[in-house]
Amino acid sequence: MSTTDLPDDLPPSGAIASKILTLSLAFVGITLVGLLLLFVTISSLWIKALLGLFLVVGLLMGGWACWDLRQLPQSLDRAQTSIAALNRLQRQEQQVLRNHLKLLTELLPLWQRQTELARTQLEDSITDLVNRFVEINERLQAAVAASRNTAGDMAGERGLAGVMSFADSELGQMVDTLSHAIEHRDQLLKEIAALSEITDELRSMGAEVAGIASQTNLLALNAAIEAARAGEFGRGFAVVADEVRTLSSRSGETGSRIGKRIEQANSTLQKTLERTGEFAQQDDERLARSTSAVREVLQQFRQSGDRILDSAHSLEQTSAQVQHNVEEIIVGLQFQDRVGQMLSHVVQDMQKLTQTLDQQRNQILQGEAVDAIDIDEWMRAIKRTYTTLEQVAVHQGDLHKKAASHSEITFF
Amino acid sequence: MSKTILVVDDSASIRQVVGIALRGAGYTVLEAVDGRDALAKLDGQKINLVISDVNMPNMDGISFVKEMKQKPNYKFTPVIMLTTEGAEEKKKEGQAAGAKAWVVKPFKPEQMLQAVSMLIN
Repeated sequence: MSTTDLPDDLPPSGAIASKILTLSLAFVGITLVGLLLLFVTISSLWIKALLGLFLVVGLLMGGWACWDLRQLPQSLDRAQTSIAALNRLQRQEQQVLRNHLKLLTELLPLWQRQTELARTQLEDSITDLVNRFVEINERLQAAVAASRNTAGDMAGERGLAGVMSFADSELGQMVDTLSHAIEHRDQLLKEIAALSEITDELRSMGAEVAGIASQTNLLALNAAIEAARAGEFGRGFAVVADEVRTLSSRSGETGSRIGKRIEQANSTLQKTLERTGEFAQQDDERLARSTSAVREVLQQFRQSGDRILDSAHSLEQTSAQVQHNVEEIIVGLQFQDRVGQMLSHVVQDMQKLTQTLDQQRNQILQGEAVDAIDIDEWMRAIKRTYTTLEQVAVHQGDLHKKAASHSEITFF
Repeated sequence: MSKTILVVDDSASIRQVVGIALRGAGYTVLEAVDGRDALAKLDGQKINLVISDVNMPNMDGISFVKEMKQKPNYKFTPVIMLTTEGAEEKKKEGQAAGAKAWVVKPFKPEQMLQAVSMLIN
Protein backbone atom coordinates (compact mmCIF):
# COMPACT_ATOMS: atom_id res chain seq x y z
CA MET A 1 0.00 0.00 0.00
CA SER A 2 1.54 3.37 -0.99
CA THR A 3 0.15 6.89 -1.12
CA THR A 4 1.25 10.03 -3.09
CA ASP A 5 -0.01 13.47 -2.12
CA LEU A 6 -0.68 16.02 -4.86
CA PRO A 7 1.56 19.15 -4.53
CA ASP A 8 -0.10 22.06 -2.79
CA ASP A 9 2.52 24.75 -3.81
CA LEU A 10 1.40 25.26 -7.42
CA PRO A 11 2.36 28.67 -9.10
CA PRO A 12 -0.42 31.28 -9.27
CA SER A 13 -2.84 30.71 -12.09
CA GLY A 14 -2.31 34.27 -13.56
CA ALA A 15 1.39 33.65 -14.06
CA ILE A 16 0.71 30.34 -15.75
CA ALA A 17 -1.86 31.98 -18.03
CA SER A 18 0.55 34.80 -18.97
CA LYS A 19 3.27 32.28 -19.70
CA ILE A 20 0.97 30.16 -21.88
CA LEU A 21 -0.34 33.32 -23.63
CA THR A 22 3.17 34.58 -24.30
CA LEU A 23 4.32 31.22 -25.59
CA SER A 24 1.21 30.86 -27.76
CA LEU A 25 1.57 34.38 -29.23
CA ALA A 26 5.22 33.76 -29.90
CA PHE A 27 4.38 30.50 -31.64
CA VAL A 28 1.59 32.11 -33.72
CA GLY A 29 3.80 35.11 -34.56
CA ILE A 30 6.71 32.93 -35.70
CA THR A 31 4.32 30.82 -37.77
CA LEU A 32 2.76 33.90 -39.36
CA VAL A 33 6.16 35.38 -40.10
CA GLY A 34 7.17 32.10 -41.73
CA LEU A 35 4.03 32.01 -43.80
CA LEU A 36 4.51 35.68 -44.78
CA LEU A 37 8.06 34.97 -45.96
CA LEU A 38 6.81 32.03 -47.98
CA PHE A 39 4.04 34.23 -49.37
CA VAL A 40 6.61 36.80 -50.52
CA THR A 41 9.10 34.29 -51.93
CA ILE A 42 6.73 31.91 -53.74
CA SER A 43 5.48 33.06 -57.11
CA SER A 44 2.64 30.63 -57.66
CA LEU A 45 -0.71 32.36 -57.28
CA TRP A 46 -2.46 29.22 -56.14
CA ILE A 47 0.07 28.62 -53.43
CA LYS A 48 -0.03 32.32 -52.48
CA ALA A 49 -3.81 32.14 -52.26
CA LEU A 50 -3.52 29.01 -50.15
CA LEU A 51 -0.89 30.60 -47.89
CA GLY A 52 -3.03 33.73 -47.62
CA LEU A 53 -5.94 31.57 -46.55
CA PHE A 54 -3.72 29.87 -43.98
CA LEU A 55 -2.55 33.31 -42.78
CA VAL A 56 -6.12 34.53 -42.38
CA VAL A 57 -7.19 31.30 -40.68
CA GLY A 58 -4.06 31.44 -38.48
CA LEU A 59 -4.78 35.01 -37.48
CA LEU A 60 -8.38 34.12 -36.70
CA MET A 61 -7.37 31.07 -34.66
CA GLY A 62 -4.69 33.06 -32.86
CA GLY A 63 -7.27 35.68 -32.00
CA TRP A 64 -9.74 33.03 -30.85
CA ALA A 65 -7.02 31.31 -28.81
CA CYS A 66 -6.07 34.60 -27.18
CA TRP A 67 -9.70 35.22 -26.40
CA ASP A 68 -10.05 31.69 -24.98
CA LEU A 69 -6.86 31.91 -22.96
CA ARG A 70 -8.34 34.80 -21.04
CA GLN A 71 -10.49 32.23 -19.20
CA LEU A 72 -7.52 30.00 -18.40
CA PRO A 73 -6.76 31.53 -14.96
CA GLN A 74 -10.27 30.79 -13.70
CA SER A 75 -9.99 27.18 -14.96
CA LEU A 76 -6.62 26.82 -13.29
CA ASP A 77 -8.03 28.25 -10.09
CA ARG A 78 -10.83 25.72 -10.14
CA ALA A 79 -8.38 22.89 -10.85
CA GLN A 80 -6.18 24.04 -8.02
CA THR A 81 -9.15 24.16 -5.65
CA SER A 82 -10.12 20.62 -6.65
CA ILE A 83 -6.60 19.38 -6.13
CA ALA A 84 -6.47 20.95 -2.69
CA ALA A 85 -9.80 19.34 -1.81
CA LEU A 86 -8.54 16.01 -3.06
CA ASN A 87 -5.44 16.41 -0.97
CA ARG A 88 -7.48 17.20 2.11
CA LEU A 89 -9.68 14.19 1.45
CA GLN A 90 -6.69 11.96 1.02
CA ARG A 91 -5.12 13.23 4.21
CA GLN A 92 -8.42 12.64 6.01
CA GLU A 93 -8.62 9.15 4.62
CA GLN A 94 -5.08 8.44 5.73
CA GLN A 95 -5.86 9.86 9.13
CA VAL A 96 -9.03 7.77 9.39
CA LEU A 97 -7.16 4.72 8.15
CA ARG A 98 -4.40 5.21 10.71
CA ASN A 99 -7.05 5.79 13.37
CA HIS A 100 -8.88 2.63 12.39
CA LEU A 101 -5.66 0.69 12.32
CA LYS A 102 -4.72 1.95 15.76
CA LEU A 103 -8.24 1.26 17.04
CA LEU A 104 -8.24 -2.24 15.63
CA THR A 105 -4.75 -2.91 16.98
CA GLU A 106 -5.91 -1.97 20.44
CA LEU A 107 -9.47 -3.24 20.20
CA LEU A 108 -8.86 -6.67 18.72
CA PRO A 109 -6.72 -7.98 21.60
CA LEU A 110 -9.31 -6.54 23.96
CA TRP A 111 -12.15 -8.33 22.15
CA GLN A 112 -10.01 -11.41 22.10
CA ARG A 113 -9.48 -11.30 25.86
CA GLN A 114 -13.14 -10.53 26.54
CA THR A 115 -14.32 -13.34 24.29
CA GLU A 116 -11.85 -15.71 25.92
CA LEU A 117 -13.11 -14.56 29.31
CA ALA A 118 -16.70 -15.21 28.24
CA ARG A 119 -15.72 -18.64 26.93
CA THR A 120 -13.89 -19.53 30.13
CA GLN A 121 -16.70 -18.28 32.34
CA LEU A 122 -19.25 -20.15 30.25
CA GLU A 123 -17.24 -23.35 30.53
CA ASP A 124 -16.72 -22.92 34.30
CA SER A 125 -20.38 -22.14 34.90
CA ILE A 126 -21.63 -25.00 32.77
CA THR A 127 -19.18 -27.40 34.38
CA ASP A 128 -20.39 -26.21 37.78
CA LEU A 129 -23.99 -26.66 36.65
CA VAL A 130 -23.25 -30.14 35.36
CA ASN A 131 -21.64 -31.02 38.69
CA ARG A 132 -24.67 -29.77 40.57
CA PHE A 133 -27.03 -31.67 38.30
CA VAL A 134 -24.88 -34.76 38.72
CA GLU A 135 -25.23 -34.40 42.49
CA ILE A 136 -29.00 -33.96 42.14
CA ASN A 137 -29.10 -36.97 39.86
CA GLU A 138 -27.16 -39.11 42.33
CA ARG A 139 -29.39 -38.03 45.21
CA LEU A 140 -32.46 -38.77 43.13
CA GLN A 141 -31.08 -42.19 42.25
CA ALA A 142 -30.56 -42.87 45.94
CA ALA A 143 -34.04 -41.53 46.76
CA VAL A 144 -35.67 -43.63 44.05
CA ALA A 145 -33.78 -46.72 45.22
CA ALA A 146 -34.74 -46.06 48.85
CA SER A 147 -38.34 -45.42 47.89
CA ARG A 148 -38.39 -48.58 45.80
CA ASN A 149 -36.94 -50.61 48.65
CA THR A 150 -39.39 -49.08 51.11
CA ALA A 151 -42.31 -49.74 48.81
CA GLY A 152 -40.98 -53.26 48.29
CA ASP A 153 -40.68 -53.76 52.02
CA MET A 154 -44.15 -52.41 52.55
CA ALA A 155 -45.58 -54.65 49.91
CA GLY A 156 -43.60 -57.74 50.92
CA GLU A 157 -44.23 -60.30 53.64
CA ARG A 158 -42.24 -58.25 56.12
CA GLY A 159 -43.65 -54.98 54.85
CA LEU A 160 -46.59 -53.01 56.01
CA ALA A 161 -49.02 -55.28 54.20
CA GLY A 162 -47.42 -58.29 55.88
CA VAL A 163 -47.65 -56.60 59.27
CA MET A 164 -51.29 -55.80 58.62
CA SER A 165 -52.01 -59.35 57.57
CA PHE A 166 -50.18 -60.69 60.64
CA ALA A 167 -52.04 -58.31 62.96
CA ASP A 168 -55.31 -59.22 61.29
CA SER A 169 -54.61 -62.91 61.76
CA GLU A 170 -53.33 -62.63 65.35
CA LEU A 171 -56.07 -60.29 66.53
CA GLY A 172 -58.66 -62.44 64.79
CA GLN A 173 -57.32 -65.48 66.60
CA MET A 174 -57.42 -63.53 69.87
CA VAL A 175 -61.04 -62.57 69.27
CA ASP A 176 -61.82 -66.18 68.42
CA THR A 177 -60.11 -67.33 71.62
CA LEU A 178 -62.17 -64.85 73.62
CA SER A 179 -65.31 -66.04 71.85
CA HIS A 180 -64.44 -69.62 72.68
CA ALA A 181 -63.75 -68.64 76.30
CA ILE A 182 -67.16 -67.02 76.47
CA GLU A 183 -68.77 -70.09 74.95
CA HIS A 184 -67.05 -72.21 77.60
CA ARG A 185 -68.27 -69.81 80.26
CA ASP A 186 -71.83 -70.05 78.94
CA GLN A 187 -71.56 -73.81 79.00
CA LEU A 188 -70.28 -73.64 82.56
CA LEU A 189 -73.18 -71.41 83.49
CA LYS A 190 -75.58 -73.89 81.98
CA GLU A 191 -74.01 -76.63 84.06
CA ILE A 192 -74.27 -74.46 87.18
CA ALA A 193 -77.90 -73.81 86.29
CA ALA A 194 -78.30 -77.59 86.01
CA LEU A 195 -76.76 -77.82 89.48
CA SER A 196 -79.52 -75.52 90.70
CA GLU A 197 -82.03 -78.07 89.47
CA ILE A 198 -80.20 -80.76 91.45
CA THR A 199 -80.52 -78.61 94.62
CA ASP A 200 -84.29 -78.64 94.07
CA GLU A 201 -84.20 -82.41 94.05
CA LEU A 202 -81.99 -82.34 97.12
CA ARG A 203 -84.47 -80.01 98.83
CA SER A 204 -87.32 -82.41 98.14
CA MET A 205 -85.12 -85.30 99.22
CA GLY A 206 -84.44 -83.38 102.50
CA ALA A 207 -88.18 -82.86 102.96
CA GLU A 208 -88.73 -86.53 102.21
CA VAL A 209 -86.10 -87.44 104.82
CA ALA A 210 -87.87 -85.18 107.34
CA GLY A 211 -91.17 -86.86 106.45
CA ILE A 212 -89.65 -90.35 106.85
CA ALA A 213 -88.21 -89.23 110.20
CA SER A 214 -91.62 -87.97 111.30
CA GLN A 215 -93.27 -91.22 110.27
CA THR A 216 -90.50 -93.19 111.92
CA ASN A 217 -90.98 -91.13 115.07
CA LEU A 218 -94.67 -91.85 114.94
CA LEU A 219 -93.95 -95.51 114.33
CA ALA A 220 -91.51 -95.56 117.28
CA LEU A 221 -94.13 -93.94 119.45
CA ASN A 222 -96.61 -96.65 118.50
CA ALA A 223 -93.95 -99.25 119.18
CA ALA A 224 -93.28 -97.74 122.65
CA ILE A 225 -97.00 -97.87 123.36
CA GLU A 226 -97.15 -101.49 122.27
CA ALA A 227 -94.03 -102.23 124.34
CA ALA A 228 -95.59 -100.65 127.44
CA ARG A 229 -98.66 -102.75 126.86
CA ALA A 230 -96.50 -105.86 126.69
CA GLY A 231 -95.13 -105.06 130.16
CA GLU A 232 -91.96 -106.70 131.29
CA PHE A 233 -91.64 -108.52 128.02
CA GLY A 234 -91.78 -105.34 126.03
CA ARG A 235 -89.25 -103.47 128.16
CA GLY A 236 -86.35 -104.18 125.86
CA PHE A 237 -88.47 -103.38 122.81
CA ALA A 238 -89.48 -100.09 124.53
CA VAL A 239 -85.79 -99.14 124.78
CA VAL A 240 -85.34 -99.87 121.09
CA ALA A 241 -88.45 -97.91 120.25
CA ASP A 242 -87.17 -95.03 122.28
CA GLU A 243 -83.83 -95.11 120.51
CA VAL A 244 -85.60 -95.31 117.15
CA ARG A 245 -87.67 -92.29 118.14
CA THR A 246 -84.51 -90.46 119.17
CA LEU A 247 -82.88 -91.37 115.88
CA SER A 248 -85.93 -90.34 113.91
CA SER A 249 -85.96 -87.00 115.74
CA ARG A 250 -82.30 -86.49 114.90
CA SER A 251 -82.96 -87.64 111.31
CA GLY A 252 -85.79 -85.16 111.10
CA GLU A 253 -83.58 -82.41 112.43
CA THR A 254 -80.80 -83.41 110.10
CA GLY A 255 -83.21 -83.49 107.16
CA SER A 256 -84.45 -80.09 108.18
CA ARG A 257 -80.88 -78.75 108.40
CA ILE A 258 -80.07 -80.31 105.06
CA GLY A 259 -83.09 -78.61 103.59
CA LYS A 260 -82.05 -75.27 105.06
CA ARG A 261 -78.46 -75.70 103.86
CA ILE A 262 -79.66 -76.66 100.45
CA GLU A 263 -81.88 -73.62 100.48
CA GLN A 264 -78.95 -71.45 101.44
CA ALA A 265 -76.75 -73.08 98.82
CA ASN A 266 -79.46 -72.70 96.23
CA SER A 267 -79.92 -69.05 97.16
CA THR A 268 -76.19 -68.40 96.87
CA LEU A 269 -76.08 -70.31 93.60
CA GLN A 270 -78.99 -68.28 92.24
CA LYS A 271 -77.31 -65.03 93.25
CA THR A 272 -74.06 -66.22 91.67
CA LEU A 273 -75.91 -67.22 88.53
CA GLU A 274 -77.59 -63.82 88.38
CA ARG A 275 -74.28 -61.99 88.88
CA THR A 276 -72.51 -64.25 86.45
CA GLY A 277 -75.28 -63.70 83.93
CA GLU A 278 -74.83 -59.94 84.32
CA PHE A 279 -71.05 -60.33 83.91
CA ALA A 280 -71.56 -62.59 80.91
CA GLN A 281 -73.77 -59.99 79.26
CA GLN A 282 -71.16 -57.31 79.95
CA ASP A 283 -68.46 -59.65 78.63
CA ASP A 284 -70.49 -60.24 75.49
CA GLU A 285 -70.89 -56.51 74.98
CA ARG A 286 -67.18 -55.95 75.66
CA LEU A 287 -66.23 -58.71 73.25
CA ALA A 288 -68.53 -57.28 70.59
CA ARG A 289 -67.06 -53.81 71.11
CA SER A 290 -63.48 -55.15 71.12
CA THR A 291 -64.10 -57.14 67.95
CA SER A 292 -65.58 -54.10 66.27
CA ALA A 293 -62.70 -51.88 67.51
CA VAL A 294 -60.08 -54.38 66.32
CA ARG A 295 -61.72 -54.58 62.90
CA GLU A 296 -61.96 -50.80 62.68
CA VAL A 297 -58.34 -50.29 63.73
CA LEU A 298 -57.19 -52.92 61.27
CA GLN A 299 -59.26 -51.32 58.54
CA GLN A 300 -57.76 -47.90 59.30
CA PHE A 301 -54.28 -49.41 59.38
CA ARG A 302 -54.95 -51.09 56.07
CA GLN A 303 -56.20 -47.85 54.51
CA SER A 304 -53.23 -45.92 55.91
CA GLY A 305 -50.89 -48.60 54.62
CA ASP A 306 -52.49 -48.44 51.18
CA ARG A 307 -52.13 -44.66 51.18
CA ILE A 308 -48.48 -44.92 52.23
CA LEU A 309 -47.86 -47.49 49.50
CA ASP A 310 -49.63 -45.32 46.92
CA SER A 311 -47.66 -42.29 48.10
CA ALA A 312 -44.37 -44.22 47.97
CA HIS A 313 -45.21 -45.46 44.50
CA SER A 314 -46.15 -41.97 43.34
CA LEU A 315 -42.96 -40.54 44.89
CA GLU A 316 -40.92 -43.20 43.16
CA GLN A 317 -42.52 -42.44 39.80
CA THR A 318 -42.11 -38.67 40.23
CA SER A 319 -38.50 -39.06 41.34
CA ALA A 320 -37.79 -41.28 38.35
CA GLN A 321 -39.36 -38.68 36.05
CA VAL A 322 -37.34 -35.86 37.64
CA GLN A 323 -34.21 -37.97 37.36
CA HIS A 324 -34.92 -38.52 33.68
CA ASN A 325 -35.41 -34.76 33.20
CA VAL A 326 -32.17 -34.01 35.03
CA GLU A 327 -30.33 -36.46 32.80
CA GLU A 328 -31.81 -34.70 29.76
CA ILE A 329 -30.66 -31.35 31.14
CA ILE A 330 -27.15 -32.71 31.64
CA VAL A 331 -27.15 -33.95 28.06
CA GLY A 332 -28.50 -30.57 26.92
CA LEU A 333 -25.61 -28.81 28.60
CA GLN A 334 -23.32 -30.29 25.98
CA PHE A 335 -24.03 -27.12 23.99
CA GLN A 336 -21.23 -25.52 26.02
CA ASP A 337 -18.66 -27.60 24.18
CA ARG A 338 -19.95 -26.47 20.80
CA VAL A 339 -20.21 -22.82 21.87
CA GLY A 340 -16.75 -23.01 23.42
CA GLN A 341 -15.26 -24.29 20.18
CA MET A 342 -17.02 -21.58 18.14
CA LEU A 343 -15.70 -18.87 20.47
CA SER A 344 -12.22 -20.42 20.29
CA HIS A 345 -12.29 -20.11 16.52
CA VAL A 346 -13.35 -16.46 16.77
CA VAL A 347 -10.55 -15.79 19.29
CA GLN A 348 -7.99 -17.49 17.06
CA ASP A 349 -9.09 -15.44 14.09
CA MET A 350 -8.93 -12.23 16.09
CA GLN A 351 -5.40 -13.16 17.10
CA LYS A 352 -4.49 -13.78 13.49
CA LEU A 353 -5.96 -10.41 12.43
CA THR A 354 -4.12 -8.62 15.24
CA GLN A 355 -0.82 -10.13 14.12
CA THR A 356 -1.49 -9.20 10.50
CA LEU A 357 -2.35 -5.60 11.40
CA ASP A 358 0.76 -5.31 13.58
CA GLN A 359 2.88 -6.60 10.75
CA GLN A 360 1.37 -4.15 8.26
CA ARG A 361 1.77 -1.20 10.61
CA ASN A 362 5.43 -2.05 11.11
CA GLN A 363 5.88 -2.29 7.35
CA ILE A 364 4.25 1.13 6.93
CA LEU A 365 6.42 2.64 9.64
CA GLN A 366 9.52 1.21 8.01
CA GLY A 367 8.44 2.50 4.58
CA GLU A 368 8.17 -0.99 3.13
CA ALA A 369 5.59 -2.00 0.56
CA VAL A 370 2.48 -3.48 2.17
CA ASP A 371 0.72 -6.36 0.49
CA ALA A 372 -3.05 -6.31 0.48
CA ILE A 373 -4.74 -8.99 2.55
CA ASP A 374 -6.08 -11.83 0.44
CA ILE A 375 -9.63 -11.69 1.76
CA ASP A 376 -10.82 -14.76 -0.16
CA GLU A 377 -7.98 -16.84 1.23
CA TRP A 378 -8.70 -15.46 4.70
CA MET A 379 -12.33 -16.54 4.41
CA ARG A 380 -11.33 -19.98 3.17
CA ALA A 381 -8.93 -20.32 6.10
CA ILE A 382 -11.72 -19.44 8.57
CA LYS A 383 -13.99 -21.97 6.95
CA ARG A 384 -11.38 -24.69 7.35
CA THR A 385 -11.38 -24.17 11.12
CA TYR A 386 -15.11 -24.84 11.52
CA THR A 387 -16.07 -28.04 13.24
CA THR A 388 -19.84 -27.83 13.18
CA LEU A 389 -22.24 -27.79 10.28
CA GLU A 390 -24.09 -24.76 11.65
CA GLN A 391 -20.83 -22.77 11.61
CA VAL A 392 -20.47 -23.53 7.92
CA ALA A 393 -24.12 -22.61 7.34
CA VAL A 394 -23.71 -19.27 9.13
CA HIS A 395 -20.56 -18.60 7.13
CA GLN A 396 -22.59 -19.11 3.98
CA GLY A 397 -25.28 -16.71 5.21
CA ASP A 398 -27.80 -19.19 6.61
CA LEU A 399 -28.48 -17.69 10.03
CA HIS A 400 -31.26 -20.11 10.91
CA LYS A 401 -29.32 -23.34 10.84
CA LYS A 402 -29.67 -25.10 14.17
CA ALA A 403 -27.43 -27.60 15.89
CA ALA A 404 -28.43 -31.24 15.57
CA SER A 405 -30.47 -32.32 18.57
CA HIS A 406 -29.58 -36.00 18.43
CA SER A 407 -26.52 -38.17 18.19
CA GLU A 408 -25.10 -39.18 14.88
CA ILE A 409 -23.06 -42.37 15.09
CA THR A 410 -20.95 -43.83 12.33
CA PHE A 411 -19.32 -47.22 12.74
CA PHE A 412 -16.22 -48.00 10.72
CA MET B 1 -14.70 -56.94 37.57
CA SER B 2 -16.02 -53.95 35.64
CA LYS B 3 -14.38 -52.86 32.42
CA THR B 4 -12.40 -49.64 32.29
CA ILE B 5 -13.02 -46.83 29.82
CA LEU B 6 -10.75 -43.82 29.28
CA VAL B 7 -12.61 -40.59 28.43
CA VAL B 8 -10.45 -37.93 26.77
CA ASP B 9 -11.94 -34.45 26.39
CA ASP B 10 -10.76 -30.93 27.21
CA SER B 11 -14.30 -30.01 28.25
CA ALA B 12 -14.94 -30.92 31.88
CA SER B 13 -18.71 -30.89 31.34
CA ILE B 14 -18.47 -33.43 28.52
CA ARG B 15 -16.25 -35.67 30.65
CA GLN B 16 -18.88 -35.44 33.38
CA VAL B 17 -21.76 -36.26 31.04
CA VAL B 18 -19.95 -39.25 29.53
CA GLY B 19 -18.86 -40.34 32.99
CA ILE B 20 -22.42 -40.34 34.35
CA ALA B 21 -23.66 -42.49 31.51
CA LEU B 22 -20.80 -44.98 31.76
CA ARG B 23 -20.67 -45.22 35.55
CA GLY B 24 -24.43 -45.68 35.58
CA ALA B 25 -23.96 -48.70 33.31
CA GLY B 26 -21.35 -50.17 35.64
CA TYR B 27 -18.13 -49.23 33.88
CA THR B 28 -15.05 -47.83 35.60
CA VAL B 29 -14.17 -44.45 34.10
CA LEU B 30 -10.80 -42.74 33.84
CA GLU B 31 -10.52 -39.15 32.57
CA ALA B 32 -7.88 -37.24 30.62
CA VAL B 33 -7.93 -33.58 29.53
CA ASP B 34 -6.06 -33.99 26.22
CA GLY B 35 -4.13 -36.46 24.09
CA ARG B 36 -0.88 -36.06 26.01
CA ASP B 37 -2.58 -36.59 29.35
CA ALA B 38 -4.35 -39.62 27.89
CA LEU B 39 -1.10 -41.21 26.71
CA ALA B 40 0.29 -40.80 30.22
CA LYS B 41 -2.82 -42.46 31.68
CA LEU B 42 -2.47 -45.49 29.38
CA ASP B 43 0.70 -46.65 31.07
CA GLY B 44 0.18 -49.06 33.92
CA GLN B 45 -3.54 -49.37 33.28
CA LYS B 46 -5.73 -51.98 31.74
CA ILE B 47 -8.09 -49.96 29.56
CA ASN B 48 -10.76 -51.76 27.58
CA LEU B 49 -12.08 -48.88 25.47
CA VAL B 50 -11.24 -45.24 24.73
CA ILE B 51 -13.66 -42.38 24.02
CA SER B 52 -11.80 -39.36 22.68
CA ASP B 53 -12.60 -35.83 21.52
CA VAL B 54 -10.89 -34.64 18.31
CA ASN B 55 -10.12 -30.95 18.84
CA MET B 56 -8.07 -30.57 21.98
CA PRO B 57 -5.07 -28.47 23.05
CA ASN B 58 -1.55 -29.96 23.35
CA MET B 59 -2.40 -33.11 21.41
CA ASP B 60 -5.53 -33.61 19.31
CA GLY B 61 -7.59 -36.78 19.31
CA ILE B 62 -6.44 -38.13 15.93
CA SER B 63 -2.75 -37.81 16.88
CA PHE B 64 -3.46 -39.42 20.23
CA VAL B 65 -5.18 -42.42 18.65
CA LYS B 66 -2.29 -42.85 16.21
CA GLU B 67 0.21 -42.80 19.09
CA MET B 68 -1.92 -45.14 21.16
CA LYS B 69 -2.14 -47.67 18.35
CA GLN B 70 1.67 -47.80 18.29
CA LYS B 71 1.65 -49.28 21.78
CA PRO B 72 1.48 -53.11 21.66
CA ASN B 73 -0.94 -53.30 24.60
CA TYR B 74 -3.41 -50.94 22.95
CA LYS B 75 -3.11 -51.96 19.33
CA PHE B 76 -6.55 -53.58 19.33
CA THR B 77 -8.27 -51.41 21.94
CA PRO B 78 -11.46 -50.00 20.38
CA VAL B 79 -11.73 -46.22 20.09
CA ILE B 80 -14.85 -44.05 19.77
CA MET B 81 -14.29 -40.50 18.56
CA LEU B 82 -16.72 -38.08 20.27
CA THR B 83 -16.64 -34.71 18.57
CA THR B 84 -18.55 -31.78 17.14
CA GLU B 85 -16.85 -32.47 13.81
CA GLY B 86 -19.28 -33.84 11.30
CA ALA B 87 -17.22 -33.49 8.10
CA GLU B 88 -16.56 -36.67 6.12
CA GLU B 89 -12.86 -35.85 5.68
CA LYS B 90 -12.39 -35.76 9.43
CA LYS B 91 -14.23 -39.05 9.82
CA LYS B 92 -11.92 -40.62 7.28
CA GLU B 93 -8.94 -39.29 9.23
CA GLY B 94 -10.34 -40.88 12.36
CA GLN B 95 -10.93 -44.17 10.60
CA ALA B 96 -7.42 -44.14 9.20
CA ALA B 97 -6.02 -43.48 12.67
CA GLY B 98 -7.78 -46.59 13.97
CA ALA B 99 -11.09 -45.39 15.42
CA LYS B 100 -14.02 -47.81 15.33
CA ALA B 101 -16.88 -45.34 15.66
CA TRP B 102 -17.54 -41.62 15.20
CA VAL B 103 -20.12 -39.94 17.44
CA VAL B 104 -21.15 -36.36 16.73
CA LYS B 105 -22.06 -34.24 19.77
CA PRO B 106 -24.54 -33.74 21.25
CA PHE B 107 -24.90 -37.42 22.01
CA LYS B 108 -27.63 -39.35 23.76
CA PRO B 109 -26.26 -41.49 26.61
CA GLU B 110 -28.24 -44.56 25.61
CA GLN B 111 -26.85 -44.47 22.06
CA MET B 112 -23.34 -43.99 23.42
CA LEU B 113 -23.82 -46.94 25.77
CA GLN B 114 -25.08 -49.03 22.87
CA ALA B 115 -21.97 -48.22 20.85
CA VAL B 116 -19.73 -48.89 23.86
CA SER B 117 -21.42 -52.20 24.57
CA MET B 118 -21.12 -53.24 20.94
CA LEU B 119 -17.39 -52.44 20.76
CA ILE B 120 -16.24 -53.47 24.22
CA ASN B 121 -17.71 -56.95 23.91
